[in-house]
Amino acid sequence: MNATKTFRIRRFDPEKSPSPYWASYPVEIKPKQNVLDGLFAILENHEGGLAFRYSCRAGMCGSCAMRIDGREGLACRVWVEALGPTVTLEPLRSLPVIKDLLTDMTPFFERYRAVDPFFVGESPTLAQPVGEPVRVDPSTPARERIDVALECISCGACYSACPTVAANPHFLGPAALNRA
Amino acid sequence: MPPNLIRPRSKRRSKKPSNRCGASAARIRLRSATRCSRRCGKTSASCAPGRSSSARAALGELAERATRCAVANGRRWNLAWQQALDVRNLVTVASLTARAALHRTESRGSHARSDFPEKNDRRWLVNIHTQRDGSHDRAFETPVKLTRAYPGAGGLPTLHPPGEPAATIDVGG
Repeated sequence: MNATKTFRIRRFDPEKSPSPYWASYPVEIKPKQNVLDGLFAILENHEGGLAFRYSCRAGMCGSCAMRIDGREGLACRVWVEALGPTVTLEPLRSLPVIKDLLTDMTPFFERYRAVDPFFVGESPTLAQPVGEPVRVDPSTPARERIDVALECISCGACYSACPTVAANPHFLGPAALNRA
Repeated sequence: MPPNLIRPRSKRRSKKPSNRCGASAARIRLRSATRCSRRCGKTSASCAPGRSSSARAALGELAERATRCAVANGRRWNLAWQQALDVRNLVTVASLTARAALHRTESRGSHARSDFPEKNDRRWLVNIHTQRDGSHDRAFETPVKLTRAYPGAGGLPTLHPPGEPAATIDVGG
């Protein structure tokens, strides 16, 4: 059931060359392996210098967002089986590339921070000791209203996919607006 | 940063290219793992003494190889470099673990020795610490401070100190 697929990756290392280039690697893929598994295989068998960010490997942390066949996704959540014989990987758009598939998320989080993405208490409560966080009851309407917005793992995929972000440097982007 | 820490090759060139560990430090890690399991078949902590010594010899050899390792591609987000550092630290921890396991001549929990299959609270109800002293791995013991559970009859732990009557435990309800 194993299949060999070609991973076509946009490589970039400013220490070596000012311009990016494409490189292809054969990767043997077992059933249910995801794109991140494929990247580990390349790291082990072909190119120890390939740079990508990852952490949880389970779709929770949002570290491994990249463009997979031209569409943003988490590398750890996309099965390679579901893709064609050639898998094209690029870094997220609208963010500076540090190396290979690794982007500098600073502009993304600057915009995120700019909207104050947290509850601000109107006044300290009497029962609240100084310096202690205010407890927000999960059943209050205000808390329920932000439920959906809290599902965001701030991976930056929406920021990369958004044409308005690409066109307007002052646009906050979907993730920040979702949290605003 | 200690001066002998592994550097990417752009900073410190390997004098002997033949000693390079190949494209990826991950490979060293895999090779090391297969090597260890081939030599003793168990984790170092659960080996019999003769085999455990050979495991420590194998770890010494791995540690030596790890210091000779050079990694390509510079300092910028170099996963192979991170893995090379990991391998070196893993070998250090494995070596100290094996040292402690050799010291503890009994079986206790997951520390299972075929040459000392029994638990021995009289001798080994102690904490073993290991410390690297230059090239020597030192082991020393400190007393265990019993707080909630105590050694009881038949090797089973009890929740009351020895000599005191069994207290009734209030589980509520």
